[in-house]
Amino acid sequence: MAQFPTDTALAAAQSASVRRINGVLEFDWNRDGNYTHAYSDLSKLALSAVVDDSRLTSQLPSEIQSTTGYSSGELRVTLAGKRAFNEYNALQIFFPYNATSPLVGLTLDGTPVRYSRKVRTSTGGTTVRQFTGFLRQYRINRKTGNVELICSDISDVSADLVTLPRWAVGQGYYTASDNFTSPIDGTWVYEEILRQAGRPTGPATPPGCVAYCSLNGSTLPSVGNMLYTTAPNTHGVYAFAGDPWQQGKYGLAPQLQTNGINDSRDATYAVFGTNQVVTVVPGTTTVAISFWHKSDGTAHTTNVDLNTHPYPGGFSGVYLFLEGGAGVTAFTIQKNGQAQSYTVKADGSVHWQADYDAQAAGWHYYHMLVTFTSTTLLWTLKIDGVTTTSLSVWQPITPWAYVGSGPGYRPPLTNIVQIYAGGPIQHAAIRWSGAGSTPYTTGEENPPTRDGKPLAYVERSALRLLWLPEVYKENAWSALTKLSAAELGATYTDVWGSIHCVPHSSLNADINAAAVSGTIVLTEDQLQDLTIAPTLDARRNSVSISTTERHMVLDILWTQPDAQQFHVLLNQLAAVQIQLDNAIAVNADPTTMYHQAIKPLTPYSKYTTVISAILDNAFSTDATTPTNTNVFADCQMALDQRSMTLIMTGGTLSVSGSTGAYVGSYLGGQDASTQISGTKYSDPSVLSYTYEDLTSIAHNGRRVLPLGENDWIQTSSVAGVVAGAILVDTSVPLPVIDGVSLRADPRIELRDVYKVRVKGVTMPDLIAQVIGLKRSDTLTDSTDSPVLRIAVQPGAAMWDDPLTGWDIGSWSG
Amino acid sequence: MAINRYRFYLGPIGYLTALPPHKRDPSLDASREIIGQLQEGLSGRRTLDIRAFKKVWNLDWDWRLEDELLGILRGYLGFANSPLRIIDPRVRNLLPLNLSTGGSELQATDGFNRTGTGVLTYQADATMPTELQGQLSGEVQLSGATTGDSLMGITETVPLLPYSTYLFTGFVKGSGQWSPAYQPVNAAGAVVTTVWTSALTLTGNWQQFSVSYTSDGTYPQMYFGLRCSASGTVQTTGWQVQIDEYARRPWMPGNGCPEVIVAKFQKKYQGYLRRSGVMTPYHTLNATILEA
Repeated sequence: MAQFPTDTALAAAQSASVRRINGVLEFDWNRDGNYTHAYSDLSKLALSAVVDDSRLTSQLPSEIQSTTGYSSGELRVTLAGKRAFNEYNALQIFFPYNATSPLVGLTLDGTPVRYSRKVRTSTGGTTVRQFTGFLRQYRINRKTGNVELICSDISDVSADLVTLPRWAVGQGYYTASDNFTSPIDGTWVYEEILRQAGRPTGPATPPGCVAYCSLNGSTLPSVGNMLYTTAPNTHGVYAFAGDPWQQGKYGLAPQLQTNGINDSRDATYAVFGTNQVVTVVPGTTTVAISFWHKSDGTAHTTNVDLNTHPYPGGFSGVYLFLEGGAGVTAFTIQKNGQAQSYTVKADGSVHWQADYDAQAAGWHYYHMLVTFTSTTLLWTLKIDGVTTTSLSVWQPITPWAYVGSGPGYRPPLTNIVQIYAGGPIQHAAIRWSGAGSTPYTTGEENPPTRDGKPLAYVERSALRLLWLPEVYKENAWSALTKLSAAELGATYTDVWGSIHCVPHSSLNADINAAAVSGTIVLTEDQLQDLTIAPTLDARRNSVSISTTERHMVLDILWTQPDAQQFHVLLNQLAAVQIQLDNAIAVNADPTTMYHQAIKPLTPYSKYTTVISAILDNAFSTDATTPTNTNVFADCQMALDQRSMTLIMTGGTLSVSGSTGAYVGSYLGGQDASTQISGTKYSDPSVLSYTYEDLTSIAHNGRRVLPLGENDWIQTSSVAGVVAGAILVDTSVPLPVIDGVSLRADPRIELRDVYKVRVKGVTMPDLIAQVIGLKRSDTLTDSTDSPVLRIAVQPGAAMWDDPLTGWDIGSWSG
Repeated sequence: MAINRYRFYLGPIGYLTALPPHKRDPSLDASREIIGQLQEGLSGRRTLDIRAFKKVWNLDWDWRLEDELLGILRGYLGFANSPLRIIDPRVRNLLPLNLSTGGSELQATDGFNRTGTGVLTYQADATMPTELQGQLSGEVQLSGATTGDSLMGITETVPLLPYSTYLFTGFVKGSGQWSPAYQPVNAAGAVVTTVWTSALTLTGNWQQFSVSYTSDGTYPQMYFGLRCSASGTVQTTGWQVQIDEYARRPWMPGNGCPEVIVAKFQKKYQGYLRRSGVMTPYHTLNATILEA
């Protein structure tokens, strides 16, 4: 939608024969969002400003004129001169070694910058944003005194590296109907990449966060580790009732389940670990559990107590295990927002419990702060930032006493986090004072913004994922664009610098009567040039597409190749890093710190981790069992799941003739016998599909568009959606209008749909979508050069349902 | 000492001096240039985009002495204090355009500054003072002002020539009581004080106001405007500052006394004339002076 679509004064100024238009160029040198530095406004120095929202670029063949791809904005500005006689000129301001520059001491590159066009109107004037980004590079020319600035609106994102976890559904995908084997939603991947790149679409990861799960299309942790991923049921999406997701407060949220919840199979569910071990020092430690929850507005009922199975439909809860296997601090909630908070001690006894009332229908943000004193627990619940009094509190006479230093599950050391999501609950976070701040801060529940605008918008992805393709320390923008390209969607930035990720169906949906009516009509009064070049090459009525399926399988992840590879001296500790390919999790008892070295099991269990060892003086003897039982070994998987550490001791008990032990060795030191089992991706299974427009083939012959293999296309239903979407664009190809030049209209944005009226040629008006836009302001001239793609075939009907895409044989009109 | 209307005044604030009388032919060029471009659509429709109007003076002199070059040279060579300001005494109204038109030029309050908590806006008005009817599109309005609030034109100061008299006039309507006012400004650019005269009681009909000030050389520059003497709302337009004209003359759009740059200066030797018995060189001069 164009900016200021209903501003009649601006529209009148745009069509007036004389127009006053000026550029406004501002820098946030203080980086506080206020643009109040004395040298923030450098508009008077600007000789020229060019904003280039590049044409949507995709990986499709160049002749395919489709609305898909990625685009980011760049601002190029040339500065010269000075604002006032007693100020420095542009060269003096930007010269990096000018010790008296007003910008000295500031880091110039990366500074937020914004550019607008200000149009005088009958009501005073309207400032219309054209670009928001960051100063990326500046070039100073001594001869001319000019300073050329290059600014990018994605330089923050493109400088960040992102890593996705390894995860896949279990092998029962085709046969099981339970939640353990449901695909996750591609929307989660978009959000996770953006979150890691510093542009969260939900609340920002709070300080002190040790665990965070957005629940935006999956239950994979964003902060935490993939403990327990040896089993597929650790990140389940409950999918009995069709679409498991609904639109949430920020992103997707689980659907409300009406069935009772007996165990983790009856709800969307997650279990994972904190990203570091959470310890409690009585008197100084606080823990906070926070999340968004949508109440259905029903009346208060009796609260649900602990261990009352089944939990009622719509029940949700977040649990942090603090003491052994039973000690837990939890915050649970019913579908009407009625909440219960409690802490259970290591012996399984409840220490305290508080109940809270139901909430009005709609979304509410909960923040429960627990303070561990020496003798008791204190708790404060804020709902929507307001402290809320509990309805009832129960605690035993026995004073609180923390029993230990925490469970320290491995690998690596961690606490277990458990989330039940039987209803719409989102952005669950656990904070610990040992890692940072835990109290509620105003506004923490909302995504960060810039100029009041979200940093990113993500519409629901068409992708449904059985597994996560490898994204490891990859440029965030690159990762986003690959994901978007897979579903033939679009990833682009707007004039506010916000990133938009939209599926192809949304792009098609732009082209409807509502989007077209009442917007700008580009007539030859504004148009200064245009070129249109339809081509047969763009016509494709048969799309071949492949899916790549992989599942989680149990397997041996690593086998020691050499019996005498790891010689560890007495009383010594050795560690070795081992790279893992396609591994998801290492199979090791999470409650045991070290495995005592043992002889191989007989017979070998494929799914058992076995680490053997032998003293180094026992080569020639039948050392069926290590005589030094203090020889230990352990394996710990790295947080990024791409490697593990094998930790070995040489034992502590001195045995005559031995100086240490060979870890991983057996049978006289001649055979290696260590194996690490776990879960990994199965080999890819690639299947091909073809989707066709038979009517078009009958008229024009078969013209194939091969989309090839793509790891992100994993199910046949997704392949059908993607192929159908591109067929809409190609079976009746609509050309791109290029070489368009028009008198600058600052309201125009990428993805806008406009009418184009060419005298004596088009009747009715062409309807075209902006897929690229270059804005140019010089001292004398303001012009725009949009790239337009005709969106609707002139003289023919629009598609019946642009949301569902191609619907051959069912045209209307 | 009244201003010499045949000469331009150029120099830093406090030190504007008269340039030599220019050449007596139509070569004197004092245009307003449009910074912008004419755009032509495929339909042939022409539209004009304007970034700014900037004044340009192209001045010629002949038979000038070396000593008479100083006023130009100090600006051209840059050894005088900056910025240079210019007064063109041929133009009646010394205020900048948007101030003189009650915001009608930019359709905005640019250049107007209010104190207090009142709300300052520009508004179109079909009913202008009689002599401005059809000339201006609107006025600035300061609503909700209380006693002591002011509405001053601060785009630029008006340079004061010692012993010249400045007459500030304009039109007001609205409510409450308002006084024409002026603010002497020192060389450092700080407002020294606000001086106001007897107040007008405003009604819905336009009234004219005026106030004069004769410089005694104490202050080098000045702002003009209005001060609220009893709470109310003022609409005002058609401001004019004349110099050394004791009777108000009809309103003209303001030309300002802008900051300028001597962008070009040519000197040619014209010949020698005997002066006090000495053969003295005379010059022809050409200067291009640009509004900054």
